[in-house]
Amino acid sequence: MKRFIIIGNSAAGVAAAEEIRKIDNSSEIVIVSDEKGNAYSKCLLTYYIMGKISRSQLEFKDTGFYEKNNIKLVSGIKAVSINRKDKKIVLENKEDISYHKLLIATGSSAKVQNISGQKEGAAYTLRVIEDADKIAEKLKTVDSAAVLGAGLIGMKIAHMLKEKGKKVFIIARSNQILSQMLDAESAGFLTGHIGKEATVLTGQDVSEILYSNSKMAGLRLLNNEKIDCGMVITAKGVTPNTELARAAGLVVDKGISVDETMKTSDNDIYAAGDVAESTDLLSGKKEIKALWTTAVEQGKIAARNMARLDSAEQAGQEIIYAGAVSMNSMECFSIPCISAGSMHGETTEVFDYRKPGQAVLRRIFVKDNRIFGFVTIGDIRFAGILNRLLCEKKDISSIKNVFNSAKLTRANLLECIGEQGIISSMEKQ
Amino acid sequence: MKKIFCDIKKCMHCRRCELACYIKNADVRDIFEAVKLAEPPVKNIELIQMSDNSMPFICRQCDEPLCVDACISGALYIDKKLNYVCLDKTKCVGCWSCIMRCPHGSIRVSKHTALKCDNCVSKEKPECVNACPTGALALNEND
Ligand SMILES: Cc1cc2nc3c(=O)[nH]c(=O)nc-3n(C[C@H](O)[C@H](O)[C@H](O)COP(=O)(O)OP(=O)(O)OC[C@H]3O[C@@H](n4cnc5c(N)ncnc54)[C@H](O)[C@@H]3O)c2cc1C
Ligand code: SF4
Ligand code: SF4
Repeated sequence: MKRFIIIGNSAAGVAAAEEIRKIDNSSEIVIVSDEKGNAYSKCLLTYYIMGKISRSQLEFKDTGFYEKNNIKLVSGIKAVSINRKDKKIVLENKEDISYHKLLIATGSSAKVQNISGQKEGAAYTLRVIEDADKIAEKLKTVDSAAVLGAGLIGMKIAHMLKEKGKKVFIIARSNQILSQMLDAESAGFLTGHIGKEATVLTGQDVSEILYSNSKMAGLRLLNNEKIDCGMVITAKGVTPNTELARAAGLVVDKGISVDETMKTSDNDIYAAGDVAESTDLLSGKKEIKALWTTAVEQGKIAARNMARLDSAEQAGQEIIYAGAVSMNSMECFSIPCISAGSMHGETTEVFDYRKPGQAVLRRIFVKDNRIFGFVTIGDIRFAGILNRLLCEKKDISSIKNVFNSAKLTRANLLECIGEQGIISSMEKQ
Repeated sequence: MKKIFCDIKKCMHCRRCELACYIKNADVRDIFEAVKLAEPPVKNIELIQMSDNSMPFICRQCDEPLCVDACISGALYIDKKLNYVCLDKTKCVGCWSCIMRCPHGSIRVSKHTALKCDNCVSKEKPECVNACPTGALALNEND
């Protein structure tokens, strides 16, 4: 019997397993994970620490998901190597399992930063559930905390700290918050609105952890300034878990290199999610998009190609991945915020819209009558359609004149796409 | 999968579909109770004035719903019985990834969670379809 093996039991791996099962209901599907138990969403960890959701609510699939889909879960065991010649993976308990097709969906890990003077119990990172439990425990003993890094995860952590009633410092090395997600102006606008909730220090870094009576007392910054806080959580980005692929001799650059079917340099091995490199739809460059949405999307595409391509009659019918677009969505200290695409470089026109006195900003970046990027803060209603115009590379010249005004409506956006509403096709004739 | 369709020749633009959706979402008996609520209710169906006509817009119940793939919490799911794209509000954490992805702009924010049309999965027929006095709205098999 054919066997599909998936390493990694998270966004990409689970989406892939489910998709393979939709196409192929007889082959064996095995998910291997070094984390124990059912899959859970890392994106929910800050809400879990806040107490907004319970341990069981971290699981994003129904109970019985594995049984219902006849997926074998080997959890709590690490895969230590891939034997490409014999098409086997080797587990840490020395067992091996052979595969017909393999998906590497090993994700990424939080980058660690060694801060001078760091002792046990001062610096934390957040990636897995154990990290969350440790942070929750430590939070019981401190009144204030600092977050190092002001990316999406850093800002989510900062928000969580605020919700837990702590005094919060956000320390960003770059000159703005959310530098992967926002242009400098939007970031400045947002910072202005969250300034009451947290102290945002940009263009800064930590030089040393300070102690008093062997308890963490604060941080010294590069400019010698001191801040008082009882713990520090670093959120300085992620590193893809490429060791397995590298050791097996697969082509790895920033992440595992894949073609547009999500196949690696080995015909029987695919990769998806935070560990895989994909082509940016706008720039054509190879990049890693470490996002839930992209991981699911890539997992599904890999799965379709893995499951369909063996049968001779379907050869050449690969599902092609058009490429990924950077897109981010979050509630940043109670202000909804969605952006996509590129806000730097290639743009020739920028359209701004603000609502006086409110935390509402919309910026649309246009080149050659195409949307290259957009930011919506405060009012996110149009984000999905703007995103579609961007991804489908639509000509927006007919509505450009209202981009910077309140006259931009769902109607003119939908009309620009050529959306026919909910008229049934019978009546359209 | 069944979807809500509109025969625009029959649509009188009376907005009763919108009212019915308000009332259903607010979980009240009528519009008088709905307007008294502290936070105004949100509707999933919207009569939109396009350049040549107005017509109602509602979630398309996509066959490959991008909103479900985007959801970080598992709150969005496909109902096993009828295959409708549904939302479990108790799981939603309000990250708005679904709003970022829905290509039709069909997802709304209501009381810190997302809100979307589920074809009134728990009822026999969608409330907007029931409310439409001209029979313009209908729940039909996708054609
Ligand atoms: C706190 C936090 C908040 C986030 N918030 C958001 C958000 O709001 N929106 C968003 O889009 N993204 C968010 N992300 C990012 C998102 O979680 C990731 O993009 C997503 O989880 C990637 O999924 P993945 O399947 O590629 O890999 P991962 O989720 O990293 O999972 C990979 C799995 O593989 C396992 N594994 C690795 N190596 C091996 C091995 N050798 N053997 C066996 N198992 C192995 C790992 O233990 C892990 O369980 C957040 C991340 C964090 C940490
Ligand atoms: S909410 Fe949007 S993406 Fe989801 S099913 Fe409806 S129309 Fe499709
Ligand atoms: S807002 Fe709620 S339903 Fe939408 S993606 Fe986030 S968790 Fe899922």
